[in-house]
Amino acid sequence: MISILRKGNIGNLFNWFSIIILVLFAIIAIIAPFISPYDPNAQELTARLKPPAWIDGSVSGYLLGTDNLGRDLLSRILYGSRISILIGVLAVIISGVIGAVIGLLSGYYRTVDAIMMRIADIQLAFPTILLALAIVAVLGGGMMNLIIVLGITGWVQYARVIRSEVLSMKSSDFVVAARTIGVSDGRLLFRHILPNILAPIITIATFQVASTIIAESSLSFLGLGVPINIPSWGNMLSQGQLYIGSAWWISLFPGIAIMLVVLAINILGDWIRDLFDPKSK
Amino acid sequence: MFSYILRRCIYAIFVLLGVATVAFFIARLTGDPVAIMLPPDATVEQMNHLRAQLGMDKPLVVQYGMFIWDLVHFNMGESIRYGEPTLSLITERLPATLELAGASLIIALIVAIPAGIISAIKRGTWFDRLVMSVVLIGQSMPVFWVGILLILLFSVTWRLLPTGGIGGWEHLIMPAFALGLHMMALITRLLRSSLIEALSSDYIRTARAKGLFPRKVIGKHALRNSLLPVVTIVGLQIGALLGGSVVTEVVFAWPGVGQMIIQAINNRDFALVQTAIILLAGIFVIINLIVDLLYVVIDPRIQYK
Repeated sequence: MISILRKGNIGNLFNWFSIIILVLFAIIAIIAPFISPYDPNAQELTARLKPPAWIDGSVSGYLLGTDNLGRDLLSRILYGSRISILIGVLAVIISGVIGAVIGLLSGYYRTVDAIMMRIADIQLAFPTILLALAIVAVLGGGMMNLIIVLGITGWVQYARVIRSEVLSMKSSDFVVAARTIGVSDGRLLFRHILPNILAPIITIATFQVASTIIAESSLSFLGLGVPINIPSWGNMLSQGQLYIGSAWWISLFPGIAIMLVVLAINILGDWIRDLFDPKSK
Repeated sequence: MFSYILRRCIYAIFVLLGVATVAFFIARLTGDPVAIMLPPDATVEQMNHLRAQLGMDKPLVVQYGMFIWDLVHFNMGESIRYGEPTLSLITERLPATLELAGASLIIALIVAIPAGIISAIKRGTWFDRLVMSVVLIGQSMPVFWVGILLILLFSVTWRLLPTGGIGGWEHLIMPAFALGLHMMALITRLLRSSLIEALSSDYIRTARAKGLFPRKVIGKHALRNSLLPVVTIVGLQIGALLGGSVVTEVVFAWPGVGQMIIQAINNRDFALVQTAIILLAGIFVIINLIVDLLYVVIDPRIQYK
């Protein structure tokens, strides 16, 4: 898709936009404590529900306004980037490792394939968010559980793609040659085949980070994700909806942050896919 | 072909059984399902009583057997909160959820099919770029935030539509749009790319060379083939639609199954959560079975052996 946009040189512009946004948010996540004007949890009850700086009635020092407890919205958004990026990346690493191992084994061993692909079909019958909700309902919320749940629910996509890649690679010359000289199955799978299918894995992982960030914010919005004492974008929006009639800024700015990050990741994903797979143009 | 249909049906039953099994074991993840069904301050006697009542003092295999046996007889336990069978509680709420999901699907198709077709025909023009940019942005917004933005604009600022609840079309339009946006973006993108591919194929060149009107070439020859992947994706995305309905229903106070699931989780009413999840996953499996069977009719190229 981007190749079409590239005709007017907008494609490159989009790609650069996405990289700049992502680098920016990554830096923000790292240095949040140094650049935040306030402690994200510091309450200033005399400055409750104050609008952003450019609107009448604002209190100076609160650039994006304050929430219902008088906490600085900007500081909370800056800190929130840590949660989204941390959960997004960690969960995707977990699901990527699980999915890659299952995919490699399923592509290589028919018995594993028969079992794992049935399990994949069963898992796909559950909408991700529902499965995550059910598990969180039992285990309780919290960062650790959230990362594990989102990590475990994401393996199927990797497994399916990697499996089909392995299947098509199984009869290729280099695999047959390696097997002829007595390379063990494990070494063949992880040292010979895996490096050759990294491209699709990276592409899926990129899109997965985006969807994980959305899933995390949705669970937090429902009050079943990140604990409410930790500033996260989903939590902020959940509170924002309660004050939607009087303080629109709480509902707007954290959402823009989510949208920017997810949009940048999606553009990056398209770009990576086009780079690795010239056919998709 | 008959054996194909039979095989698909048997496989769907297998997947449904798997869904029930997963739901059964999720309740036992902590080892003690009774703990998540009672309030945190429940006494040991209360817990033991419930445990005996639900048969949870028996071995796990027996419990599982009883669970499946009951399920086959549509006996899915009682809600601790309401004291009624969970199945009837859920089926009461189901029409509202299906109405919402159906309306979002219709809105998504009404917008996405023309947008995808025009984008593909006018490939590379400003219209195409605009549509594709909107698609990218639409795919990057969480469903619940789209809902919040709609409320902010249409209910709070312009006071045109109610913020939530169920009623006439004015209650339905915002939640349905919010829920359908992702699917809308996905279908537009997919239809556009599959139509572009079809338009560059040999049979389209032949049709054009025959002197057919462009409208006929696109509408009758190219579009029919391009709609096939769309049908598949719509089937698969029904799952995402049902999952997204949970968040949408909460944002818009829509009295469906999704809202009930969240209330049930907060009430520690796990039997209700379990039934809702089995039912929604079951609906998804059955819809995909229907899509699979429809393929026999739509796509005669595939050999069903």
